[in-house]
Amino acid sequence: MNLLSSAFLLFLLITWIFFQLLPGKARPWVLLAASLLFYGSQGKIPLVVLISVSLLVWFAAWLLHWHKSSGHRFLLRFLGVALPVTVLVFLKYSRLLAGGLNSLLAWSLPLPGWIAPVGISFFLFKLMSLSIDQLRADQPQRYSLPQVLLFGSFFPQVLSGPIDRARNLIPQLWSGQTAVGQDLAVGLSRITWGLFKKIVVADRLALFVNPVFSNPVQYQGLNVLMAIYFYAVQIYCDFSGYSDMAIGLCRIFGIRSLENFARPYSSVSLSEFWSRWHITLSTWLRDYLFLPISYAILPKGNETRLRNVHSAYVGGIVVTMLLGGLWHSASWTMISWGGLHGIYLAFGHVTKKLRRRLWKKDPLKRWHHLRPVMARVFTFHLVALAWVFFKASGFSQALAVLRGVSLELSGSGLYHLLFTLLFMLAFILLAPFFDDEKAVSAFARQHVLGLVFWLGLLFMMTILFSVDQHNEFIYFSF
Amino acid sequence: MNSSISVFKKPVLRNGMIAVSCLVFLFLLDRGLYRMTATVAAGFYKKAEVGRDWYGQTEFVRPGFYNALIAGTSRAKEAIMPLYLYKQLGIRALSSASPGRYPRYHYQYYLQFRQQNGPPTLYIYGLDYFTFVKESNEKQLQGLMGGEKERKTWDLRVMQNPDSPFWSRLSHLIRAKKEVDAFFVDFIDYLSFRFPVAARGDLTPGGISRYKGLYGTVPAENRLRPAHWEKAPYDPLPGVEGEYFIKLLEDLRRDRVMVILLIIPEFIAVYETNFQHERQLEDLKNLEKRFQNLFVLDYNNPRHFEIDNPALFADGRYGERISHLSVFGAERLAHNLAVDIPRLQQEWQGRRQ
Repeated sequence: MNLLSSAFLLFLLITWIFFQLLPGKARPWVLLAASLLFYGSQGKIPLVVLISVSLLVWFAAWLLHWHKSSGHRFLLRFLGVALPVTVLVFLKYSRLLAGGLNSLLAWSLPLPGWIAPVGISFFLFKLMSLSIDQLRADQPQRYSLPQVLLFGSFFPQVLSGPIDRARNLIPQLWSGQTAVGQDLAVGLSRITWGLFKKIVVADRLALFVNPVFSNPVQYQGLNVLMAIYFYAVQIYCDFSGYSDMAIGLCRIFGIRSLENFARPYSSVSLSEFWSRWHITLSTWLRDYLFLPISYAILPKGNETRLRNVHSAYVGGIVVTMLLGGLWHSASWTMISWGGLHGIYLAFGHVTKKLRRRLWKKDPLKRWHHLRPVMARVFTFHLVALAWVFFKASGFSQALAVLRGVSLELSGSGLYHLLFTLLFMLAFILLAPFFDDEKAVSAFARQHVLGLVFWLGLLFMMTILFSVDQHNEFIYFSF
Repeated sequence: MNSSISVFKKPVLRNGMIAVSCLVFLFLLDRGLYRMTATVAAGFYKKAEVGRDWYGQTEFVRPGFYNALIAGTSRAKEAIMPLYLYKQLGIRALSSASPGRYPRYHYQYYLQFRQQNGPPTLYIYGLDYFTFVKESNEKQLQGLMGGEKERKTWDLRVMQNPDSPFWSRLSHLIRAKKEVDAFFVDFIDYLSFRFPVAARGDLTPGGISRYKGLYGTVPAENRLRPAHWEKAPYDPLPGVEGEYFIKLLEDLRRDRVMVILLIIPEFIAVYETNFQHERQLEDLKNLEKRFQNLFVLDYNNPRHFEIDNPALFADGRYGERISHLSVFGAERLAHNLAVDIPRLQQEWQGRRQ
């Protein structure tokens, strides 16, 4: 079942009516049944994996709650962290590992033919975060099996996040609360806006971007440069469009999901960018990967020495970003993408003081007010450069794209470029009304007739200008 | 909306009214937007005389500007650059070479060019090994010749959207999705035709665009000679559209236009696949004897062009009948032309006297 299908709409309507009509105690069970049904529609094996891992995580967490012994801690570490990592590696990277071992050691291991179930990373990350939080807590929470199962499988989030935390989601899921009018208004607004971002803006931009990236030598000049810019916007609209829809779906059930994006391209630095882009994954990586790695690197006994802190940060961030790249796909271009971001962040951190001093001595102080604008433009370009490696199928393609960049106007494709720019402009004009929770809440507070008018108009415009071909969400493949 | 009250605790009538008004509003919007788009599209198609392929039409922006014409397929388009001819010889050439264009198309193109612009002084036809085997693209040809003016109107009774059969019964916008998308594409194509911007390698009345061309080079493995590969025999004149080729040459002779039949170089692997070059050359030499204004330049020859240099080609492999020059190949060919065209022009002057 796909989020953009008629079957999903029917499924959602039925679930929502049951959820609203049944008494409070029955509501979480409605969500649990719907979530298992929804994820089960992706295939039997994904559902079995989801239920099995949830069961084991719950069991270990339950034991730890009752008795905080080192044996139970080890069990939770094993079942709640090591096992999901092993499952993830096995399902996602076994083909690559087998191929690598075959070529390295001249073995003849059979190459597995399966494809990792959609959304596997996202629910495993959620379950791992629950386990680690339990391990770190002085007083571990007591979660029931249905609670853990619903947390992992909650249908608006299971395919591509947001990667919510147990302490935020489980109490809401099991509170038995219902959606109020404002929830419905905000939820529908976010769903419509997410739909617009995905099937109008992202898919229209893809029509321009994909031919350029698939055959870069045929396109030269401004077309290539614009394809790079467009891809930066496309991936944002694609993924944040999905996140908006997921958050909106949560909201129409009265549940406030964690935000995933906060206008990332308005960041003045790379570290700010990562606090605004895929926020739930960034914070997950920070809490469960970067901080443990940095602490492990930090020389014991000299923890406060500045130099040691810097090297721990640099080591931690580079390793984290490389693993982040590897998570997206086991390819050199993805590792380069992660590595580039690691270098950006490490360089930004190491030179922070120096840059501050330089700005203070700046002879062009009267242009000081332009600094944030320049910083935003510079940050955007660094991010866009890294996206080239993210998008390209190989190094040669990425380099061919970068080689083709110039400001030369190319006659072929100019009007397609202008047409595509119109959609980007529409997005920029509408974003202030919809692109964050505060703005949507303000929009949703208007009179019901006004709300119906504007949302109806946006929805119909979305249908009118949508692309007549189905493009899967980019992040479904991760 | 009152945020403190459950949507289901509000009076049922009020919620029902809101739901019904939503549906009515969506219905009206759907019909209104469809009507608006259909009207705009109908107006556009009526004005733009769609059904014609805009790219196939000739429009010579400033009569008298061009004094040379280049014909051929994509191979000629990538190989013979108007920009180089202008830079090296001061010749202002218009290239009508493009994929799917064979003698019949170029004959019609020449007639229109002559009508609007007068005859050129030089005509270069970039020949392929397969020039006389293939037919011109019918759509392009129809566009060039005016064709039947077809007004595209949207008829809801025949429209179908197989991707969303259920929703297309309810929404006209969804039912017309394919037509709406086709309209956008037609509109962009129309703009490209009506307000052309210099394409790569073009020489335009407004100025010269900088040419960057194809940067690809043939991968080294394409040079590996397999033990067996399928070879392609030559199909001689008249072939499929050869009669138009002869008609074109006759018209050019009547108009006293100097004609160069240029055999475009093929990458060594393709050269060895197309193994009957002598027969092709023989055909053309016969024409040279028949038409006094005609000259043959055989660049598909290891003595005149480095056909074994992969950097000069963008593609081609054993068993394939086609390869294109890379930007470096086009530059090399331009150097050859810079020497050969003045020599042939002098010869042509001699013949005329």
